[in-house]
Amino acid sequence: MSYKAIKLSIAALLAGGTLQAQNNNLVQYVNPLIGTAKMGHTYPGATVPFGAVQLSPDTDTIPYAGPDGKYTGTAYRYCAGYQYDDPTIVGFSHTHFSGTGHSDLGDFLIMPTTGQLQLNPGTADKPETGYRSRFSHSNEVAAPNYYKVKLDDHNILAEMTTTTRVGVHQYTFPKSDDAHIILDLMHGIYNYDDKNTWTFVRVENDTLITGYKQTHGWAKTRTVYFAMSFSKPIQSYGYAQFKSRYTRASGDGLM
Amino acid sequence: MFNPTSAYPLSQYWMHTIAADTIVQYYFNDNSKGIDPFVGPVYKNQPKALLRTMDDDGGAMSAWYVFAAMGLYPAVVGEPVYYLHVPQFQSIDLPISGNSRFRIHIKNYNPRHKYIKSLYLDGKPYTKNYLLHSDIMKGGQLIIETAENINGANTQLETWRSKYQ
Repeated sequence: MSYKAIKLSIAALLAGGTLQAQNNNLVQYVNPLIGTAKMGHTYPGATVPFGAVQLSPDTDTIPYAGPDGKYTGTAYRYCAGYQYDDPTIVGFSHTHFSGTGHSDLGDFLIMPTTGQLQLNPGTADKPETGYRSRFSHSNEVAAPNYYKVKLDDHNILAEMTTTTRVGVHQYTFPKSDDAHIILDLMHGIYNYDDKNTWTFVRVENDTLITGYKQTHGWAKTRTVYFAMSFSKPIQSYGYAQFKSRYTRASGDGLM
Repeated sequence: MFNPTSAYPLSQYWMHTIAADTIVQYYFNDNSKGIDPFVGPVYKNQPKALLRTMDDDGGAMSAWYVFAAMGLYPAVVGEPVYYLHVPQFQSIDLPISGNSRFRIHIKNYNPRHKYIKSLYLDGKPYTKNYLLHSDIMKGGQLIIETAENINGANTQLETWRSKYQ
């Protein structure tokens, strides 16, 4: 079986700090999985000190509030996007809070897939109904600024690291006639109807995509921008536009 | 919270206990909701690391643990003052710059000892229950002699009180 790796880097233009020199001897003791179960609200993904990018897996899409506007209690478990006991990964988004008692962010979710193209995340109990994938902790490595996991449903090895402003993805695909990279601009943490006030994407050429989104969440009228470059040219692309009133948990909403 | 008072050995006890010992935590204090209390250490090196309703607060709780394990407690936000208690380790080196370091060393290390009996800063007896940030940044060595029981705790140390009342 032959494998091909696609490298992908996303530069997010956000305010940020500077990279500090670290003593490598101490880094081996860091365990990013501490606090990822229950209510620790930490994430296991890749980031650097004062980095503008926190590239980390999100394990569910529980909205902050349903269509009736009522707060969803279980959303509180997903302040950092990741719950250790969850069986699936929806994708890898570029911004996360660590250990907060409220939440937001989860911008620019990327998910590599194989097989039938699906534009909906699907549900945790039926991951095959969407682009999400089952995973296992035995195939997962979380280290300072490095995260690796095997996406079982797609047979893809996902690896990621970051710089101060760039999230670097490396996906090793199996040989397949049908392979995709999903970019979900509507995904978010503490998402709710109309939280995304504007999302925009432009395909500049066969290796570059740019775009931005504006959200009305914890931070009002927050705008984040990205430029996404691929190590292999895009063969074809497409998009789905969703109704403005759209609840991810219900799984419907395609126009 | 006892640190600025004459009862500061109680702070030494609680810092040591909360950082590493098994604690019993009741929810809603009087346990009126009938929820089983949490029994165990507050911090663990595993995914389920913290108390049931506790999160890491943007790294603040992890930072609190690191301070607690080092025997230092930031007195108040914005003031360069650390109250002292007994660290979790016999010896701790804080690299300052180049080869310079500040070492905190327990002379008679014992995990059960939670009280400060005497202090020596750079070989000389030290009579305060706090260090300034500038003391640490100068480099040097703080030797701590510990006591197992509160009767052995030093109660003659000079304490620090915030000017904000």
